[in-house]
Order: sequence, then C-alpha cells, then structure tokens
Amino acid sequence: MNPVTPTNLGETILNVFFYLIIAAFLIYSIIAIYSLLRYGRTKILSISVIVVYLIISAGLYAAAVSSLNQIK
Amino acid sequence: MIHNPLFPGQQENEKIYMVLRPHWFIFFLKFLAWVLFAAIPFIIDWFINQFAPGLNNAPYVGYIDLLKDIYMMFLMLGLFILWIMYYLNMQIITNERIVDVTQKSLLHHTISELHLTNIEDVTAEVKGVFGTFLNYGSVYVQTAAETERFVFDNVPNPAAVEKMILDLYEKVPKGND
Repeated sequence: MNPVTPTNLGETILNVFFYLIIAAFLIYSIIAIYSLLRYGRTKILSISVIVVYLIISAGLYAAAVSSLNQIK
Repeated sequence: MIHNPLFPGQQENEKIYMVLRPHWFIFFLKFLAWVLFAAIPFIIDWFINQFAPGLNNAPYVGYIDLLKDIYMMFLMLGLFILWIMYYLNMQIITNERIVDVTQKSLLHHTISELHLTNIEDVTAEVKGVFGTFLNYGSVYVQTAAETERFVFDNVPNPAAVEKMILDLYEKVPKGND
C-alpha cells in the first residue's frame, strides 16, 4: 500500500503557490512590456530595455525553479 | 519627407523645441529606495549567519532560497516599472503648443495639450537643497481660458523652460489660434 503522504500534498500546494506567483509575475510583466511598446517613443530603446529585463527575469526564474526542485 | 510624430496629433511643420522629463535625481531617489529593498535579502542572509545558522541547512535553506528568488523577481519587475513610469512621463514644447504626456499607471495614459496662444502666465519655481544645487524645479503654466494650470514637476533648468515658453509665446501670431 502506498498512501499519499503529507509530504506529497505539501509539495503540490507549494507547486500551486509557486506557479500562481509566477503567473502573476508574468501577467504584470506582459502589461509593463505592452505599455512600454505602446506608449514608448523610441522603439529601439524600449526593445533593448525589454530584452535586458527578460534575460534577468529568465535567470531569476531558473534560479527559483532550481530552488523549488531543491526542496522536493 | 517621412512624418514620424513624437506625440499623437503632431503637425508636419510643427517644430519640437524641448522634450522634458523629471530630473535624473528624481529617478535616482526612487532607485535609492529600490536599493534599500534590494538589500533586504542580504540583511536576512547576514542575520541568519549571525543568529540562526541552523537555517542554512536542509530543508530550511531551500525555502529561504526560493523566497529570495521570488522576491528578487518582483524586485526586478519593480525596477522595470519604475523606469517605465519615468520614461513615459514627459512634456513636449513645440512652436505651437505644450503637450503634457502623463502615465499615471501602466494602463492609465493621459495626453493634455495647451496652445501657446492660451498662455497667460508662466512661473518657474526652484526650491529645496537638492533643487537649488542640481537646478531642477517646477514650471507652472497658467492658461487664459481655464482655471486649471499645467504643472511640469521637477524638470531640469526650470528658468530656461519658462524663458523658452515665453519666447515661443511671443513668436506665435496673435489672433491666429
């Protein structure tokens, strides 16, 4: 018999919370990028800043996923 | 000639004299506040090392790292939005009008226009230690028709802005709105 242990439930809750937070982050980022591209006067500057932001965010996301996997 | 307007409604023969944003020091102050928030994870690390070294071991260290990573992500988002708000707020002075582009939030964009012929009074104000030494302040443009006035907050060299607006007002043909 292999019952579902509280640890697994904890992991599921942690995963759900983590990806909800990431979804909120993603939505907010998309709105920010949209505003900058929509209202920004210099597209080259806007795109450059967005690329830098996305690279840093992707690095931080990778670090967060790595930390999440470390907990499991 | 390719017409690439800086703001909606810009005429082809309309000459832009100034594009104003708040002084860099205003952004720097906000950036300093951001740096204080960015220092929090390092302070927590120091605190853990000094007073609770047990939290550096599994399973606690994983949770702490995860929280720090998520915090840093939102911190980066905060800095990104801070810069966007600084970059998207601006005032444009042309030979025909003053355009105030205000970004109150990410999805709240306002454009107000004031024709130079409607100007009644322009006031430049420099106050405070930083404003005086770094030469930034506010410019108030009072209109003839409305009680509401245009305010340029914390713009660099407000006296030069005031002079430019008055000079352009003098050049506008009277009775030709």
